[in-house]
Amino acid sequence: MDANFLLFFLDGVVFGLILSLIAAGLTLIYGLAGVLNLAHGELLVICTVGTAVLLQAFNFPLPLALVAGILLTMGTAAFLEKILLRPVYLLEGEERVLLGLYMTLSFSILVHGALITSFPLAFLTINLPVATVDFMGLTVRTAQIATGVASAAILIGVYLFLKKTWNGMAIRSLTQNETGALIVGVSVKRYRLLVFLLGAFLVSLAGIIRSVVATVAPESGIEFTILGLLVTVLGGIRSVYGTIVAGLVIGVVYTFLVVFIGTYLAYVALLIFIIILILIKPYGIVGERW
Amino acid sequence: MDSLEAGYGDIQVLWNVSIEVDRGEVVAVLGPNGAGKTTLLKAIAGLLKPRKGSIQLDGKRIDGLPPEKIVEEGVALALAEKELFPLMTVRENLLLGAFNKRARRKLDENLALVFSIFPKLRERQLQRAGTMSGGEQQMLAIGRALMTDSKLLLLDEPSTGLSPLLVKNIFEGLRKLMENKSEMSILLVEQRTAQAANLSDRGYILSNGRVVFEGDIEGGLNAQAFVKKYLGM
Repeated sequence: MDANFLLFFLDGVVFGLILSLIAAGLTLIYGLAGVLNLAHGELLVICTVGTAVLLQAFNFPLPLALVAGILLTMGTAAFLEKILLRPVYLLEGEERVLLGLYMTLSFSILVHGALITSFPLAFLTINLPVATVDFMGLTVRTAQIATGVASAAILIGVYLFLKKTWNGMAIRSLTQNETGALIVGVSVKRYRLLVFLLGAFLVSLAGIIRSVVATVAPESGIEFTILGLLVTVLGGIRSVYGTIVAGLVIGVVYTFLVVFIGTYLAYVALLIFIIILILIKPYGIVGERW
Repeated sequence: MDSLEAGYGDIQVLWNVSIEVDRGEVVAVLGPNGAGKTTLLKAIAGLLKPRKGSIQLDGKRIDGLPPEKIVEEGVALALAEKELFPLMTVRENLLLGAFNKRARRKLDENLALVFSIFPKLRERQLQRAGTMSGGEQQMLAIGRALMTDSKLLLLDEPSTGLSPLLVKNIFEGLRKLMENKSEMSILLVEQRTAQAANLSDRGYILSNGRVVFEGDIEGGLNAQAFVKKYLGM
């Protein structure tokens, strides 16, 4: 039981880190552009489907297919931001949020329909060369270790990017005070595009990492959007640090719920758990008020 | 700036306003609440698009440019609302002031200048900006504007809401700044007329969005009476 407990916990951490990667982009885009991107999960699937199609139908080597998948996703995000969301930015406040919801939801439904009808069999599973390793007397799947380390490294990279680089500082300044950022010469338009590209990049990596531990299906976009939104809300909507903590909490709790009460009830129990947490801490689990 | 008109939505605030600031000069714009002083500064900094008229910096038109380009041309703004980044440290706020390329090259030099003018900011470097007092936030807003390494500094009511002692601190800081950066021009908007008049070379009085006086504003307490006369108060 002890050994299993540890393995489930590890599973939960990996799942949580993947959720954090999805939600980090949602949080950044919402904080900076005022758009809650309901097509975010579809972006993940665009990457996995694109990669799978290149692998299956065109026999691309894996690294090339992955790079192409990521670029395709980032290109889609740029199209979404630059073309489809243009009217959204003419509005401010609640109106912008609402129109942003409509636009990204419509885009999400469109992408979902296009993918499941055009590429219904484009499942992505990436197998690592070595299946298991022995670690402190436990047999652990290599995939778990590799994906856990990779996602943690990416999240640390995001943190350092936001904290230490001029571009990262500019992004944080825009989420904290847009007028202040304009005064010091930060361009809103430029960084709006940049956070969409960054969000698409992170969600692509989340999709690829997920396909190492599980299979990602063409129709799973909505599920990832919903999980990403839950993490974002629980993390305090604008705080990337909160997003990472919330991702880990939801990942671990969900994994244990699946083990103890089964997949279907786990969702219900997870939602109840999140509702209670939000009732207790309405500004998110790290509690930063904006 | 020539015959500038600006406003918000359907409401026009500025009517045919012409103002000139020479290199190294400190010019005060005085006037009561609602006269259009802040609107004037926002229009120069590009936060509002002027409806008519032109704004030139060293002979180059800057009206209609986006705010980040105007910063690059050399205009800095410190607003009365401060507009700081509340969750960042004092140091990070100052660094962001130096976001434009020209300022990045002179970052260390300007940071040293800001710390010499407002020593309090050096002490508070690692504190979050949102947790500071109003006076300290005002110093930070001015310090951040100085970090942009501008030719023209726009100051919006640096004394608003501060105790007399803090106001004295701020104006002492500005005096030090003028000694250190004699080539920089300052356009200072104020309600507290005496200090502003003391500090400045020339002044304008703005009332209901129009310039009603321009020229020398007598120093000291006389200034108050002087402004009152022009505003008919």
